[in-house]
Amino acid sequence: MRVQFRGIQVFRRLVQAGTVSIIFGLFFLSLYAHYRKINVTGIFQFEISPIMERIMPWIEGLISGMDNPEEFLDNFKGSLWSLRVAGFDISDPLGFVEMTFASGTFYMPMFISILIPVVFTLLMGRVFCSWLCPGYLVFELGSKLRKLLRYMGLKTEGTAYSMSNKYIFLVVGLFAAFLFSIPLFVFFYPPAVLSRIAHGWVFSAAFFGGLWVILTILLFELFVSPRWWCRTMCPGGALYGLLGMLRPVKVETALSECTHCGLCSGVCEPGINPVTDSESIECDNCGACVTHCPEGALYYTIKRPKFNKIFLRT
Amino acid sequence: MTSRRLFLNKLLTGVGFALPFFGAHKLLNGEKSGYPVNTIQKEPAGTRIIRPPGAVKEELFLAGCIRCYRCQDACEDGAIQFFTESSGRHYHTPYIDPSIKACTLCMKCTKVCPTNVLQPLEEEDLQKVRMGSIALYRDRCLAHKAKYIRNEQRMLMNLGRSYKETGVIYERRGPCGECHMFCPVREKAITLEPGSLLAPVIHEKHCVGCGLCEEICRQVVRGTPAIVVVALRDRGAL
Ligand code: SF4
Ligand code: SF4
Ligand code: SF4
Ligand code: SF4
Repeated sequence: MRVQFRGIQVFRRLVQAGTVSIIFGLFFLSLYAHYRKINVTGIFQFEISPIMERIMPWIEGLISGMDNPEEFLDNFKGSLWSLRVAGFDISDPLGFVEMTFASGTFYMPMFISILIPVVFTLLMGRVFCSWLCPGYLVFELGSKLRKLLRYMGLKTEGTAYSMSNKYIFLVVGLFAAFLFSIPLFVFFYPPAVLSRIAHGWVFSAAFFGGLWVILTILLFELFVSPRWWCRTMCPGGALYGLLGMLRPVKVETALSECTHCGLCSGVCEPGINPVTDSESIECDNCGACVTHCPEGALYYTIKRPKFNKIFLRT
Repeated sequence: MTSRRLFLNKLLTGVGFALPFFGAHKLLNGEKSGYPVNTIQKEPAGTRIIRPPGAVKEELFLAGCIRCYRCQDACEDGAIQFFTESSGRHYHTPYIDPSIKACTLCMKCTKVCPTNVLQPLEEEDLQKVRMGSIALYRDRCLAHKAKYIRNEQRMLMNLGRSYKETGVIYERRGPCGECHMFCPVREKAITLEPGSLLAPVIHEKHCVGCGLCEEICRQVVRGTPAIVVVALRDRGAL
């Protein structure tokens, strides 16, 4: 089977935009629930933020025909770190693993809430990173900016660190969480941090502490090491990578059509060579190489895992 | 070396780095039962740590809360606030400050928490909640001040002063009892002294710590409230 279509990057951008709007949508629904309650009790004075003023009519239109709007609003809470959509709980596997290590307890409902992302990852690999994560999106835009800076003649370093650092970081971080019984990744794991920044903005909480984390990573990526965080540091990416190690869905090369032009290595988001290493643990099925190959030699396919190709020497 | 062996090597190096710390931790803390205890016991300055209803013990709370903000989303009364960077290890954990907004015990936050650090409760479970306890400062309470002044006035009149002379109003005072009205476990946590001035008497062991009394008292006395919630240093589960 050979799945290959040129619009796949446009499709990926649409999915990423969809994730971002779902995050904001959930926050605005929650905030609307607050306003609604205050309006019903009518005791307190409040000011509605200008952006909420525009969005409120939409939400009111959405819930106007419902018998039980309160129950509907109760079923939409949270952010990408842990959310409830239409009554279903979905949590980030990293959050679950870290909470289990830090508190030493196993909580069944939370385990059930990570099953959907885990099954997805087992089948499709690290697609959370390349298709859903807002941090990935921000850092991708950062790498575009980096290209622009280079084009304008600015000197930037191109250091590449070992990609297996992130697995070490994951293990050490989990140990630290266990030792100090406090979760640590939550403070700099980009999807969680960006969710909280967006939450602070929607709820006018002026709560932008996490912004420094994102800015530091972004600056480091601009001037020292391209896509440093996702390639070599992210504990969440490491966990998703390990889960998706034996994925059946992967990118493959038709070697007879490949001219070894090297274009795909240049566009590959995790920074590997798709022709030789696309079955490895690092590939996150973003499909940039599939779109950019001038010969059309790369395609998605379904295959049994090859154990000798999983780990990379980087 | 093959790539897989190199990878395993690095993984083991990581574990090896972490193991000594682990051993030291176990040695220093001894074999304690239950959850590992953090040695830093200081609370952020000037903050009462009142966790939302159903919160587990503080150490387990800090370990288990994944800082997802879902409880704040669910709290439609806006009672749940979050600690900021300046609070150290409490950063990004929820608390309730009755001087901003008290908890109405709707229990919505307990139903959305993904990690069980806020244990699910129904509204009927109200009396199981122990978010804090209560303290009453009689010198600030309107009703208690009124009672005191009334007694003093009676004494002076018994000594032969006129009513006009003794009835000088020098502070806000009068019958109140608003805290009793607002308490969700009234007649248990707060009762009224017999007599007409509606002076409250508190019973700490029944207080759920919601802070509704503090919130209304702040509005009644227009200043530092006479009845305040105090944090429990070590809550039991629930
Ligand atoms: S019980 Fe209700 S009012 Fe109290 S903190 Fe939870 S959500 Fe807020
Ligand atoms: S919902 Fe639970 S895990 Fe999430 S921030 Fe609140 S207390 Fe923490
Ligand atoms: S509301 Fe305050 S002033 Fe009024 S009776 Fe209660 S403690 Fe006293
Ligand atoms: S005494 Fe105050 S804090 Fe305690 S339960 Fe009653 S209203 Fe709540």
